[in-house]
Amino acid sequence: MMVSLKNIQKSFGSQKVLNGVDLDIDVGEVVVILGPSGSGKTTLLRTINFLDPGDDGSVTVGEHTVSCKKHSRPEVLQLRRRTAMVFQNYNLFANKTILENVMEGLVTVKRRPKPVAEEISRRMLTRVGLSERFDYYPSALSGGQQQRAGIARALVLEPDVILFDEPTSALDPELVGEVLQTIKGIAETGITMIVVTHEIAFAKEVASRVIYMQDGVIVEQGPPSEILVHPKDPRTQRFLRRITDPSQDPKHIDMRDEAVTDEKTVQAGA
Amino acid sequence: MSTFRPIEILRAVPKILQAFPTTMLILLASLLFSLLIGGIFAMMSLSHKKVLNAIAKGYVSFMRGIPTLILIFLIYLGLPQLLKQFGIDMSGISLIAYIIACLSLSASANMSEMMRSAYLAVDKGQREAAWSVGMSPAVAFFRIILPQAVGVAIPALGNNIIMLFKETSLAFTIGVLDMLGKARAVSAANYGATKLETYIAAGLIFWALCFLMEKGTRLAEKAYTKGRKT
Amino acid sequence: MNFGFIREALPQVLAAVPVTLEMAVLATVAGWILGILIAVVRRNHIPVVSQICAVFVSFIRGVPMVILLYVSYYALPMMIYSATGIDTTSIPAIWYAIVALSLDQAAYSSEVFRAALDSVNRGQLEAAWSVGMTTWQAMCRIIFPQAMAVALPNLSGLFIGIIRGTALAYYVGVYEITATANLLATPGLNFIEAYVMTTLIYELISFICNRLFGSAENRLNRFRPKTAV
Repeated sequence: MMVSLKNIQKSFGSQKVLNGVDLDIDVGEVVVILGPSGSGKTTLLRTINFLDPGDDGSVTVGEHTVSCKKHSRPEVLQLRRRTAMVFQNYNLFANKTILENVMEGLVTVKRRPKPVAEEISRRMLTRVGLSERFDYYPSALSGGQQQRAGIARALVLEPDVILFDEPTSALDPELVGEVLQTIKGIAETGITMIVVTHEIAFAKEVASRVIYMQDGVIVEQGPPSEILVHPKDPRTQRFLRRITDPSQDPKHIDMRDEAVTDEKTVQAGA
Repeated sequence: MSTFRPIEILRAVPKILQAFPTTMLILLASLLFSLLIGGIFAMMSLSHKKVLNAIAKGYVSFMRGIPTLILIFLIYLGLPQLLKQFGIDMSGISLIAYIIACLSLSASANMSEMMRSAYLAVDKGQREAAWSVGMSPAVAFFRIILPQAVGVAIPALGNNIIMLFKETSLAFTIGVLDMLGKARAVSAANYGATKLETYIAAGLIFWALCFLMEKGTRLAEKAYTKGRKT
Repeated sequence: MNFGFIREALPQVLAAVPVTLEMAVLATVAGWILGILIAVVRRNHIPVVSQICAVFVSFIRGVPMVILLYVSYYALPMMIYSATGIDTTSIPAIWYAIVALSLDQAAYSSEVFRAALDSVNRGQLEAAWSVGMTTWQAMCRIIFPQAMAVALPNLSGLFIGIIRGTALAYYVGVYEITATANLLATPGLNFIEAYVMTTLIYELISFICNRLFGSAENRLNRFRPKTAV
């Protein structure tokens, strides 16, 4: 077992966001979490590396278990060093070049000598197609390039699991493809991944397991061929109808608004 | 070494406050003139003529580089000397006028920068929208741009007034009996035995008044931007 | 214009420039370090200390520099004497001036640092955490360098302000530029010459300081998009 979540509970103020989530993920699995905005999927991801510590329950990555209620700083640090995250808004270090961004974790956290770190980082950036951009600052790159650099920054640390938090939601439509292609390439190398996304086609193609979440609980899960094609739960069916053909759903415009409020709640709680 | 007697602080407060009107006179007059001078230089810095931009920029950086104390000495001690050589006698001018002149000049640099950035902070689209409905540039400025710029400038204005208020304490350097001048007189009357207590009293008075000004600024900002900002 | 006076006085006034710079630089270093501490304390809402800092900042910002200088000059010896019994008459006045100027810088710079730290996106800290950095590492390597770039223009203004403030140290008997010029001007009433000369010296100092800060700004800002600068 690579990742194991036990009874994760989380509230922001009086609002219950996660209501007892249990989840076991095996080595090499690619888990895609789907769900409407406000379902708690992003928060679940952030409880894994304690960016938003759960109120109750426990998180296990590899052999390392941390209790949400009682956790010490070194424990959390250990957990974060076994995981890596790709953010919705990239969050590349603005004061560092692309190459330095990728090197940063290797040098300060893994204590690799600089030349070694640089060598590894160059190779990683080349792999995500950024060999021409080593010395650019993030602000000089397109969203797609920034996100690929973000992926390289996560990957270079050789984490037990990589957490993707809506990696393509902030991108212009024409840039989504290149990033999804990069993530797909990584998935094929057998690294454990948890991906929160709205991209159904991507889930269908890449996921080994799809999880549907709503109202802070896992509604159903299974292989994509099952969940995406023959969902059992009416909530999943409704969600998939809405997302695959928004024109059929009168509420499809509301989803955008929900997305905004959801993000605000998360930040206010963070 | 003299001993510290807190009671002397209380005794000094009412005496220092006797000079409150003088300090206020200096503050208000300097405020008025610094806004006028600052306004002129702000307009110059916003004009399309490169020469005027350069003059305004030079003026602001000159005033920001010179210590106010040196400016006071230059104008109070130096200028009459210089003008005397041209047959102009400045001995009839009151001390307070000198101080007001110096503080106005000194503060005008900040005032100019404040107005300039407030003007620039108003979105360009506002002007274009005003023109598009047929307003003349002057009408657009007074009805659309200026009211918004004032809202933007209020916090900076409050800050500048507080700075100016603190600088009025330099009036004592040429013998004006402002609050600090009065404090020095009080201390001298006690043969310097209550120096520390008197200065602390003066400091507390300034602090209290600055505190009020800060609160006032916040109220003004709230009242002014009420319903305008989302 | 009495050029003979200028020839004679200029070297002596120039000799006082290091005194002014010493005061300004020491007070700036001490003041900014204290300012950063206050900013961090207030941002993290550390109980009691945070409130004390707020009162301190409000007080310093509300009291004129001259009064701060006087209070520091008269109160510190008393405090040192009653606390340690050390005779303070041998401590040069410049140190009291440096204390007062430092406190002034601490109060004003703490507000600058606070705003600058607030301006750094929280995502930067989360990203640093996500690669396994400690909060301290994240502060030193990611957050602070970005905040400095935001703070520098204001800090530059504060430094020029403190150069102007050093002129007031004259009133507690420090022989910096202003005091020296005054001393030399008085006997022969060479005021205009003395103060024009002094003005030029101050302007030159602030010009050079602006240049230095400007180039530091360029260096620190190289990561920002060119269009936004």
